[in-house]
Amino acid sequence: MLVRTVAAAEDAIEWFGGLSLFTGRAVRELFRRPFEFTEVLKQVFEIGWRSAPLIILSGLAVGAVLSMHTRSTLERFGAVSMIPTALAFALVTETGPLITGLLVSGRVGAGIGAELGGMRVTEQIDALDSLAVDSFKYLVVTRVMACIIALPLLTVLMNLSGLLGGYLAEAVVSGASFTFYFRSAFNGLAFSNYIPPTIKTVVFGLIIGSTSAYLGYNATGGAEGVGRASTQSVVLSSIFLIVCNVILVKCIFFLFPGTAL
Amino acid sequence: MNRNKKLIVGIFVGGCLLLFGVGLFLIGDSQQLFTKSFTVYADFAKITGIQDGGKVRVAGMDAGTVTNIEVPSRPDTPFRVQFRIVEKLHPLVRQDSVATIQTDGLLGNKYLQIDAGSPDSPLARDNSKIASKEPFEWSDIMDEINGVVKEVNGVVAGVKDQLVSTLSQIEGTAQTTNLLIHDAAPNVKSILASADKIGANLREIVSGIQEGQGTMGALFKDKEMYSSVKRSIEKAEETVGNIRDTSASAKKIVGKVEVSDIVPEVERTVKNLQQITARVKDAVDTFQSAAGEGGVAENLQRTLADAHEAMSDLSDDTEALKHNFLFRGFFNSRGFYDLAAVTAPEYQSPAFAKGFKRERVWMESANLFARDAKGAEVLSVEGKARLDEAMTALLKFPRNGPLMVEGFAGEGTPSERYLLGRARAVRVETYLVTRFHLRPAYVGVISMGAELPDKGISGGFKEGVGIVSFYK
Amino acid sequence: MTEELEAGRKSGKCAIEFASVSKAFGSRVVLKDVSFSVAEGTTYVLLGRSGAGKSVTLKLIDGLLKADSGTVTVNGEDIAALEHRALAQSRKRIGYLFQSAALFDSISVGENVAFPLRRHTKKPDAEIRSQAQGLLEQVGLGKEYDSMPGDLSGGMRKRAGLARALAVEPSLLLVDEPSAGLDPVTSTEIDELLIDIKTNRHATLVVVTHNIQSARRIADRMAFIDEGRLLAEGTVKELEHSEHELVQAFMNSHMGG
Repeated sequence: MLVRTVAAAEDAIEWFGGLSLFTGRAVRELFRRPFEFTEVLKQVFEIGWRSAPLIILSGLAVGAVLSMHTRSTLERFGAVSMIPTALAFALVTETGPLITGLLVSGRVGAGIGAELGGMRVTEQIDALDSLAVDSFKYLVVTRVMACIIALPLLTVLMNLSGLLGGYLAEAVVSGASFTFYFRSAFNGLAFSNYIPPTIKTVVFGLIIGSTSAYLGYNATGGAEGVGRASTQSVVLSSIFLIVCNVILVKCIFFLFPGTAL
Repeated sequence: MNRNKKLIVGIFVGGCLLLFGVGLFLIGDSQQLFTKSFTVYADFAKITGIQDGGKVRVAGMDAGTVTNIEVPSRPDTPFRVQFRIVEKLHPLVRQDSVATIQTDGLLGNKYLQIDAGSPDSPLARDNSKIASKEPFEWSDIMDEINGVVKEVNGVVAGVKDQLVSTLSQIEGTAQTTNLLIHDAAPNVKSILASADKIGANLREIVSGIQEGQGTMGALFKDKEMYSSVKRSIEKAEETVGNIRDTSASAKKIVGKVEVSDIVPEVERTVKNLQQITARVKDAVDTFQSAAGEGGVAENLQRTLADAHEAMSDLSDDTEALKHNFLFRGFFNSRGFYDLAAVTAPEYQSPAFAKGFKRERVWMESANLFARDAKGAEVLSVEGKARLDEAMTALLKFPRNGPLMVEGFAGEGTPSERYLLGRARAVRVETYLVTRFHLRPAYVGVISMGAELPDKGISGGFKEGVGIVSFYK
Repeated sequence: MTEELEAGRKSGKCAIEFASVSKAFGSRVVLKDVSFSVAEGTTYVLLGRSGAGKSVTLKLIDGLLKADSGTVTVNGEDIAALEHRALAQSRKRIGYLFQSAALFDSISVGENVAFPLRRHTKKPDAEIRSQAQGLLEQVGLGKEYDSMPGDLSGGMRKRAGLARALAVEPSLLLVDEPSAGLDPVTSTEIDELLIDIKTNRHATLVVVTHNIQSARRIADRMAFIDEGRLLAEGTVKELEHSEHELVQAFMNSHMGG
């Protein structure tokens, strides 16, 4: 029993070490020629643009729900005028980045895991290498790069569509004016509440990109292996993302003490 | 990868960056980053959680942000809080503006409130310091009360035989302290209201006088008018002096009770009164030197009547305040005992009417009183004449302090002596008040029947009445 | 031993040389102490049952896998010792037809063939397209330029894969199971294509197959691998008369077919 546990732990550590090296290599290669510019564009299209509808719809819904909850809470204190500020604060500092990260890890993580896994088991990755194309650069680095680019952009979309959803929910109840709503929403924010949480999603992008690419790139075992890679991509990148978020938030508090209320 | 896709990616990336920029702009705008501003600073011993980027409001309007908080290197130097205020609001920020740290709404954000300064004061300059007021902390007032309790404890240790009664007093004190703090507030407010009213009236008088400078001659011919005005103004000055003292002390007490509400009012009033006093003085000077023909007399008379009314309101309020536990000490230390409640030991203590000179007239009861049919003492005709004479002598001294009538009696038990002494004093007081139209509030009665006569009196004086005028 | 082969040997040029190569995945041994050499301009066929380690041999030649011990020498260079860029350079002259053809399914058949040209040459688009078209015609897929790989049959995919492998004008062509899962007619066509490539382009071919018919048609020399060991090596005739039972059984099982 103990032996088995130790072996499992060893495997897990080894796996994690492999992921770390893989991520490290991906980050290093990000800055090394040749840059697969066209491929990155293509992946930004796939990962960013194609996720936009999902993000915007979710943002609207999340914003509306958050707004309704905020209203019912703040109403008790007679602080209804705080709704836009409270919503913006909740969205921009935490909810927006985190939900964006989780949604993208669901959609894109699974996609990358399945795509690269499929390419691995059908020897397409070998074929790339045999054609003297660096498959790591061509497949992994481009996707990681695209995730890093897309995540902050999608977070911005999520934040704003969340606010818009909040506004729509609020407009139905109180008929607040659009300009007033958005002005007071941003009124309670400082740059340190806005910029660092948005920028931190770069790390989310790196986690999603490298975890799912690692699983897909090293997939084995035919169609079943591809399915496993795809599922694990979502599960693991979501977990890493949430855990990493704790560290990131702590870092932001440390670097910008003003953001901790 | 065709052109179309590239275009879409371009739009996507560009659009999102643009939206991000809009967010940045809205935040920057709310922090007034893009408007012209100037910087001032203020020192605080406690900053109660205000931080870099915290909001600054001038007279309640969002005006900028805290740009820097300089942490002191020594415990006795304050924090220096530097902040930006938009140029637009510069006209409100004067050199006498005061910065306070306030709490905002539900989330409890701290912000810096800058009061609009007085219009006469020059604009606060860029990079200059403005005054600050330390944030109010409940713990301070509790500390103070703790200190009092400790002091009392020390006294108690010295007087062990009185321990039980003292302890119950302490208990009572502690229980009523809170109540009294609340009770005091309305009194102070009504005083201030009166003071404001006087202020307004006086301003009217003064401006009337100043406008009518050329017509002073007529006013001068009206001797009665002149003396009435002069008396009123003197009285106003006196009252203002008292109010100023009262206000300063009230500010101290009330400031601890309710910082944000009453204090600014008190301060404003004090400021107004100071200004008015100065202008009243000017007016009197003008009065004495001006010459010309008449005109504003009627207006002036009406205003004076108002002022009188306001002042009697004020004196009522002052009376009410004197009864208040918290303020009694204050009045007592200035000789403003509640004259109806002053006790003989208090009266004899050096603290009574400290700083006042006193002028005393003694009258033997044989010279004052006669016995009526039932055998009770009444003022004789001769006695009344003697009182008129004595009072006239006393009226030569300024009337800015209380008048005390002491009753002495030397026969019988202490309580008999007390009662007789009091009866004598009351008779004399009643006569004097009606005869000389004295204000009852400024005339006190004290029975010295049970006490030894003042040591300063020779000849074993035991039966009679003493009239003491306190003045400065 | 034919004269032709003698000539090749005498020229002394070995395109590929395996020296005591072993390879294992975890505890599973795939190749054990395998040594053989392939002369330039000849076709070398690796025979054996499925899962015997033949495909791994091809991947070792292309540097896609690295041997645990022993050396793999290609055109006189130890493939394992090559650094990244040199390896890429050497691969530009090696064509590889994978077992599953390994066409990139996100781009069209024609673009698959054009892919190496686009990556490694700076020719204008039109020229690349016509070259790719020419290669497709060569394998009989002239009309399929714009089809997606998913829409093709197995044999067509394999031929498209061959066209892509030929696009780099290889001096060495690695072919993994050219006839697996194909009907005999198509299989023969592909074999003829391979022979044509050898004779017309003077390329060296290494072909992995378990189809003895096909092997007889194209091989100059062949080797038989089973459970990671090289059981026999030589010309077709030499193998037919091998002392090893399994080899004989294998060679003869398909004789009549």
